[in-house]
Amino acid sequence: MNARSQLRPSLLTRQRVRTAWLFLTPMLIVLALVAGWPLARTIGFSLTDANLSDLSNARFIGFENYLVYDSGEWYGVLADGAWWNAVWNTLKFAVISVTLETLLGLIVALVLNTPFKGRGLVRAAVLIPWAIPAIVSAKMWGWMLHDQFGILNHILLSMGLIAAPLAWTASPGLALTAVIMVDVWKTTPFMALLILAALQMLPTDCYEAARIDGVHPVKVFFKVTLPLIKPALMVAVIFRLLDALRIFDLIYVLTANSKDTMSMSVYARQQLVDFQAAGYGSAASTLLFLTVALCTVLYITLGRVRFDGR
Amino acid sequence: MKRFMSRLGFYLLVAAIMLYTVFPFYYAIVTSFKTGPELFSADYFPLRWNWDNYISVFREQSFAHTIFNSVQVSFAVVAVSLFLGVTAAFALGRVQFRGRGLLLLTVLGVSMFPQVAVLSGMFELIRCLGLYNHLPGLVISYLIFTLPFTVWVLTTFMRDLPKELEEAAIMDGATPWDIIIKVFLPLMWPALVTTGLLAFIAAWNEFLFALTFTLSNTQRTVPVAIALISGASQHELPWGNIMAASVTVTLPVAGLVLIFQRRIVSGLTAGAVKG
Amino acid sequence: MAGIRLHEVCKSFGKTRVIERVNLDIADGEFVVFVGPSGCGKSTLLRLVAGLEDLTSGELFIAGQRVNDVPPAQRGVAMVFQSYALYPHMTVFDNMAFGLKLAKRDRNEIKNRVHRAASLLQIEHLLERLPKELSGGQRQRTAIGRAIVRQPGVFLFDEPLSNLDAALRVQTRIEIAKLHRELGASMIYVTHDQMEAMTLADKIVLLNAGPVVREEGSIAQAGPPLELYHHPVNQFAAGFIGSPKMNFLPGQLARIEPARATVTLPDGSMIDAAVDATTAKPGDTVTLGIRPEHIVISDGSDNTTPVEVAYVEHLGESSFLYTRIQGIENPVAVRQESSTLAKIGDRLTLGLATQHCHLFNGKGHAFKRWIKPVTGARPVL
Repeated sequence: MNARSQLRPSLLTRQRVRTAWLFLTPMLIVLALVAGWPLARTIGFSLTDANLSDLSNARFIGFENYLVYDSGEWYGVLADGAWWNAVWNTLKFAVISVTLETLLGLIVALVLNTPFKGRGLVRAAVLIPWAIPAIVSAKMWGWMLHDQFGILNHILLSMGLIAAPLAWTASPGLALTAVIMVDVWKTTPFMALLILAALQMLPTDCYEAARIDGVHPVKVFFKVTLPLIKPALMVAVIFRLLDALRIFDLIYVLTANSKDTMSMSVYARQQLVDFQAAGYGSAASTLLFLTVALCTVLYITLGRVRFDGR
Repeated sequence: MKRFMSRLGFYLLVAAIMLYTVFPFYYAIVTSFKTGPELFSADYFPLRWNWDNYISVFREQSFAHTIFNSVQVSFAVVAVSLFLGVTAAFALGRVQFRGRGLLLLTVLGVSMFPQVAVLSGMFELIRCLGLYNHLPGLVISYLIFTLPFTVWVLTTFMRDLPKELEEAAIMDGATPWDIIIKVFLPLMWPALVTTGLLAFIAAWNEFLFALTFTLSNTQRTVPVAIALISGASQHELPWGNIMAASVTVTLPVAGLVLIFQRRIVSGLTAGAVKG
Repeated sequence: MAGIRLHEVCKSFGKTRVIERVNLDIADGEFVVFVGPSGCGKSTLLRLVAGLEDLTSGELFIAGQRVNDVPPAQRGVAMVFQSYALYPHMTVFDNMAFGLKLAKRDRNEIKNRVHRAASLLQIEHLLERLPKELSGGQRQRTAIGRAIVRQPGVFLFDEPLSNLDAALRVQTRIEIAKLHRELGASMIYVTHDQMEAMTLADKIVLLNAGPVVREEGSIAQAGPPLELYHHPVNQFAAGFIGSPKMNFLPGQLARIEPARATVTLPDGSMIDAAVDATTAKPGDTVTLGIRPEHIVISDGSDNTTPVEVAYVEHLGESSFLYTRIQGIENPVAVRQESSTLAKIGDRLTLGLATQHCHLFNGKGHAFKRWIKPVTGARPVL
C-alpha cells in the first residue's frame, strides 16, 4: 500500500487554508479583545485586593478572596452565607423556571403544530414576550404584581382565592415566585419555538401509520413524538439552563437588593459596583464562570459520549 | 359531540395562550393612559385616551434622545458583527482545516460567558480606551454576545450553500473574497437579515453593561432609562410614565418581530437546533 | 487548443485510494469519455484535471505545462457541472459574463463573446432571464455557454445529460457532438452511460472500481470505441461496453491451435473461437464471451449448442430471448427480429459464430482475437 497517502497538501489546498485563517483573524482578534482579555483580567483581579475606584493599585493576595482562615474565622466568597444563599436561589430559579418553560413550551408548540385558522397570528403573538426587553417585562409585571394597585391581586381577591393583597416582590416567600413567573412568561416562547421546529422536522409517516392503526393520540405522543424530539429538547433545555444560571436583569429590576432572589450574578455585581470590592466581586464572578463552564463541559463530553456510542 | 367538545377545548386552550402572552402588554397600554389617582384602581379597559404620560416621558426624560442612543448602538453592533461574522463564517463553514472544530466550540463557549464574569475586566478595558460613559464603549462590550451568535448562525447558513456553486465560481477565476461578495452574499441576505435582527434585538435589550458602563443621562440606553425612571420620593414610582415608556419601546420591537417572525424563528432554530 | 497528459496520477481521500496510477495522453482536439461503474473515480479524475482536487501524486500537464499547482482559472479549462451550478441571482448574460468580468475584460469584448456563444447555443433570446425561469435544457445550454465564453483549450463535462429526460438526452447528445466539431477544442466527458461513451468519444477511458484498482491501476482500457467493442482486454471491459451485456459462458479449453481455440461447454457442446490461446494449455478453465446480437438460431451442427427458451422480451424494434444452456446457471441472451415466433419452453439451437466469440482466461484477461480489421463505422446499437 502506498504510504505516501498522507503527503503534505498541495499548494492549492495550502492557499485555501491560509485564506481561511486570514478571514478568521479579525473576528478572533475582536473576540480575544472583548471576551478573552476581560475574562483573564477578571480572574486576575480575583486574586488581588483591587478596589473599583483604584484598579491599578491592586495587591496580589492569592486565593484570599475565595477562602481564607484568619484569626478564628473563615472569610472569602466561599465562606459568605450570602453567596451560598445566592447559589441556592440561582439553582432553585433555574430548575423550576426551565421545567415550567419546557412544559408550557411543549404545550404551546403542540398547539402551534396543529393547523388551525389564525395560527400565524397566534405564533406572532407568542413571540412578543420574548422580544420585549427584559426590563420592560420586569416593569410591566412589576406593575401587575404591585401589592396595592396590581391587577393580579385584584383578580385573586375578587375570585376569593386570597383574603388580603399579597406583596409579590417584597415578601421573602413570594419574591422568587414572582421572578420565576416573569421569566417563564418571557422565555416560554423561545422554548416553544425550538420545540416547534423539532416537531416540524418529524417524519409524518409514523403518524399516518399510527392513525391507521387507531392508536390514541396521547399514546402516540408519549411513545412516538416525545422520543423523537428528545435530542432537540435536550439541547434546548441545556441552553436554557446555562442561560438561567446567569440571570441578572430580571432580578435586579423586579426585586432589587432582595436577598431572597439574589442570584449569583446579582451578588457578584453588588460586590463589584455597589461595594467597589473589585477583587472580591471578581472572585464571585469567576466562581460563576467556572460553574457555567463546568456544566458546559459536562454536557459536551456526555453528549459526545452519547453520539459516539450510537 | 365528542369532536365538538375537543375542538372547543382546543380553541379555549388557544385563547388561554393568547391571553397569557398578550395580556401583560395590553395591560401596560391601558395603564399608560392613566394618570394620578386613576392608577389606584384596576381597570381592564382604557378609561380615556390620555396622552399625558407619553408627553411627559418624552419631554421630561428626554426619551427620544435615549431611543436614538439605543438605535445608534444597536445598528453599530449589528454592522460590526455581520461584517466580522460573514468572513469568519466562510472560513469556518466551507474550508477544511485543522482546529476548525475546536474554534467553533470556542466561539460557542464564549457565548456562554456570564456577563458579570467579564465585568471588571471589561470595565478596566473601557476605561483604558477612554470610552467610559460613551456609546462606542457599549458597542465594543456588546460584541461579546452578538459576535459568537452571529458567527455560529452564519456558519450554519454558509455550510448549506451548494458546493458546486462555489466550484463554478472558482473555475471562473473568483478569489474567496469574490465568492463571498458576488456569489454568496446575494444568496445569503435572508440569513443576514435574520442574524442582524436577532443581534439588534439582543443589543437593544441589553441591560447590565449599559447600566455599568454609562453614567450620565445623555448616554443612557432605553432599558436603563426605563429601569431608572423614578418619582418624587423613593417609593412613589410614576407607573403611568413607566408604562408609557415601556409601550413606546415595545411597539417597534414587536412590530419588527411580527413582520419578520418567520425569519426570526428560522434563525433561532438554525442556531440552536442544528448546532 | 491543448493536449493533456496524466503521468502516474494517484488520488487518495484520507486513507481511501480512489485513483491509482493513471497514465493517459489526450491529443489536442480529442473527445475523450471517462466511463465506468460507480466508485471508479471518473468524476474525481475530471476534477483533478479541472483543479478542484489536488493530485496526491503524479503529474498533470496541459498544453505542455505542468499544472499541478496552477489554480483552475489559469489552466485554460472550463467545466460544465452536472447540476449546471448557475448563479441563481444573475441573468443568463451575467452568468456567462461572470468569469470575464472578474478578469476585467473590456466591456465590448465581453458582449461579443457572450453573444457569439449564445447564438451558437441558440439561447440569445434568453439572455435577460434568470435561471429559475429557464427549462432544464435551457439551463444546461447556459452552463455550456458559460464554458464556451472562456474560450478554453479543454472542456470538461461532468455527466451533463443525467438530469435530462430521455428524449432531450438524445437530442443534446447530438448537439454536443456538433459543438465539438465546430469548436475543435479537446473535451473530457464523464458519464456512466456506455451508450453516450460509444457515440460521442474519439477515445474511451474505461475505469476500474473495487479491489482490482489496487492491483491493475484505475484504467481498465483506453482506446477508440470500436476497439473496446471488438477487442476488450478483459471480461470487465467486455461486459461494460455494449447493451445488453455480453453473454459469458464458462467452459474448458479442449484444443488449441494458432488461429483458433476449441472450448467445451458444460453441456458438452464444442465451440470454436477465433482467438490465439497459445499461452494456455488444454484443460484450463476459460470463459467464452459472445454478444446477444451475434448469436443466431441455427439448424446446423457446427459451433452450436441446444437451449430452452426461458423468457422472451419484446422491445418493438427487436426481441430478446433468454435461453438456458444445460449446466450453465445464467441465461444466455439472444437478440432476434421483432417478428420472432419463439416462446417460452421452445427448444432451439444457438449458433455461435467463430469470429464473434471472445475468450477469457481464468483471471478474466482476454485472449487476442483474430478478426478482420475494423472500419471507422460505429457498431449498430
